[in-house]
Amino acid sequence: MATREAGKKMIMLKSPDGMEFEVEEAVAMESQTIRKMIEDDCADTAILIPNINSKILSRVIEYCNKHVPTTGATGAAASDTVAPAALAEDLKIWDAEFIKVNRATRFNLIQAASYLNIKGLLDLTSQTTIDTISDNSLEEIRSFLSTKNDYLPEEEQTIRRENQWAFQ
Amino acid sequence: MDHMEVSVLPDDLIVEILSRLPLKSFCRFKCVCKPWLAFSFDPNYRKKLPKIPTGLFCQYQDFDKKATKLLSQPRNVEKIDGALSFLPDHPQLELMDCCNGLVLCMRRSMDWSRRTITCHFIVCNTATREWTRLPDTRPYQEHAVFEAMLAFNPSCSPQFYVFNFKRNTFSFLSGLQVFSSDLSTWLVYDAWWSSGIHTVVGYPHLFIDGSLYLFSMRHNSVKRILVLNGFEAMSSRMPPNRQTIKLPHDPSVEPANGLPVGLYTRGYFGKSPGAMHYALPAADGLAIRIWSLDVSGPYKWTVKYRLSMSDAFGRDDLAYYGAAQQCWNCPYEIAAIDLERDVVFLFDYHANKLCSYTISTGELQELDDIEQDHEHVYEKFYHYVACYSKLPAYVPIPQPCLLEAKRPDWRTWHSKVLAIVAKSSWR
Repeated sequence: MATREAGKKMIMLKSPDGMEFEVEEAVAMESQTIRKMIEDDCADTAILIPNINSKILSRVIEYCNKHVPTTGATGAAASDTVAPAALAEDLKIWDAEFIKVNRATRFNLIQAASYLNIKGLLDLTSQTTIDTISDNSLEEIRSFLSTKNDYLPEEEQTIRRENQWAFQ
Repeated sequence: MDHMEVSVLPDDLIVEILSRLPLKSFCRFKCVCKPWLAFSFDPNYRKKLPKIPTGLFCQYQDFDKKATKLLSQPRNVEKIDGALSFLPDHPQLELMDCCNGLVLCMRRSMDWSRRTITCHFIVCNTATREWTRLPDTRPYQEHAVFEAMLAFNPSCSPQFYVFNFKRNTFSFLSGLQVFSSDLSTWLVYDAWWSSGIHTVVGYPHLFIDGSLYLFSMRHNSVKRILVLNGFEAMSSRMPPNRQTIKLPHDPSVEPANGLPVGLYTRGYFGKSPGAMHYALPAADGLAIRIWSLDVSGPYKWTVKYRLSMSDAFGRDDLAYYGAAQQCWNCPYEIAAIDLERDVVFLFDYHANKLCSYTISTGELQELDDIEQDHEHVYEKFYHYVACYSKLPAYVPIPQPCLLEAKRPDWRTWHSKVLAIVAKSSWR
């Protein structure tokens, strides 16, 4: 149900748990996946976003709202008054606050960013994950990313010896 | 909506996360679990992930001097000094070998009064820019030609060995001197080497899992692969073990159309974990066959790939008759094979360029290097995979210290057998 409100084209996004979100088309098009649907004219009625629950979808929309390029009449006015560098700095601070979430939410956000193809959000979520664990021990990394050590003791010894330099 | 909470990320998203790691951290993360190690070799993921720099180490003639460079495909992110300019005397150095990230270089010096030459070897790690000077070799007669090989595998041991063979006038390898970094000295194995039935010509060689594989042949006879291993025994002055394996195919035995073939006979070795590969162009040059063999035995070759060179070069008339050498020649030479990275490196004689052939796609591409100067005369190529482990620390002995290795005589064997018997009865 694309509607018009104050001269802006609106798009309806639906999560699988039945919640509907009305967002500006420009905001929804931050997602390359949705952009493609709109460009292919597949977005006449509400777009169902599979696998992303309402809690996560609302956070994704919040991210897109913040990151949508400010163009048009109001946007131009805004960028005239604020320097671009200051805007970028502001966004960075906002991003850092935005990603202060628990592990499960972050994983859900990574999956959502990947499915919806939102590069900025995928960069932010993946990079934050790497920053969290890069200095951790192998055991901590395994537990964080829910993976099991399937090396046999002698195999682990070999692979560790091969990569000895990386542990120094 | 708890059922939608994710606790395990799918592989593509794990790769997405890992792709942001710097190379060093990524190498540590490979030790987390097997699938993460396998990502580096997965055609869907490997482009994304940090890569250990690899390429071809080449020596070429640069006007009046020899020079080296590292060609890679794609261009390495980490800068590696392929010109070896961090080494002392680098303009006079000759590239001798490359093995698992270490590079062996040699400079010779002439003693004019005695008319002898001495080899000065340097082993370096180009990735860490570490280098070490080996003690000088014994003096050789002037005009002696050498074939030196490096044996190093950081996943087995931090120690390395340098095999220095002297080539006789028929280009067979005669004298042998081995440097062991463990002992910090050269051991002379001339008598042991010449007592063997096989002599080796200057062909490609390979070092995997503690064994050195060399081409070998008796005079005018079938080529085989000579396997040398058990180098640890050299610390008690014992010579290495040796045995031979058959080659999967030797075209020099049955030349095509009854005509002698030239470089076709010169296959190339490659390796992947636990396996050795042998690549050889067909007699007409239109295809390259690659065989594999499990190095833990039994030594049985199986054909792994048949790569169409006529498709890659877009021609059906690849072989040409070389009037000067009076034999059929292939317009390309296999410079290296790396099945783990899905690539065969070829040297195109006509274009005087190095190319990479992608096995899965059959694509032939000139090596992406702005420095690839077509005026260069390439002399040697060695497959290079960077390694960041430290060179073993050893105390260099300033004076040449040569030890004639013991020959395994009856007494040593007897004491060995006694030791084994004693061990087993103890158990």
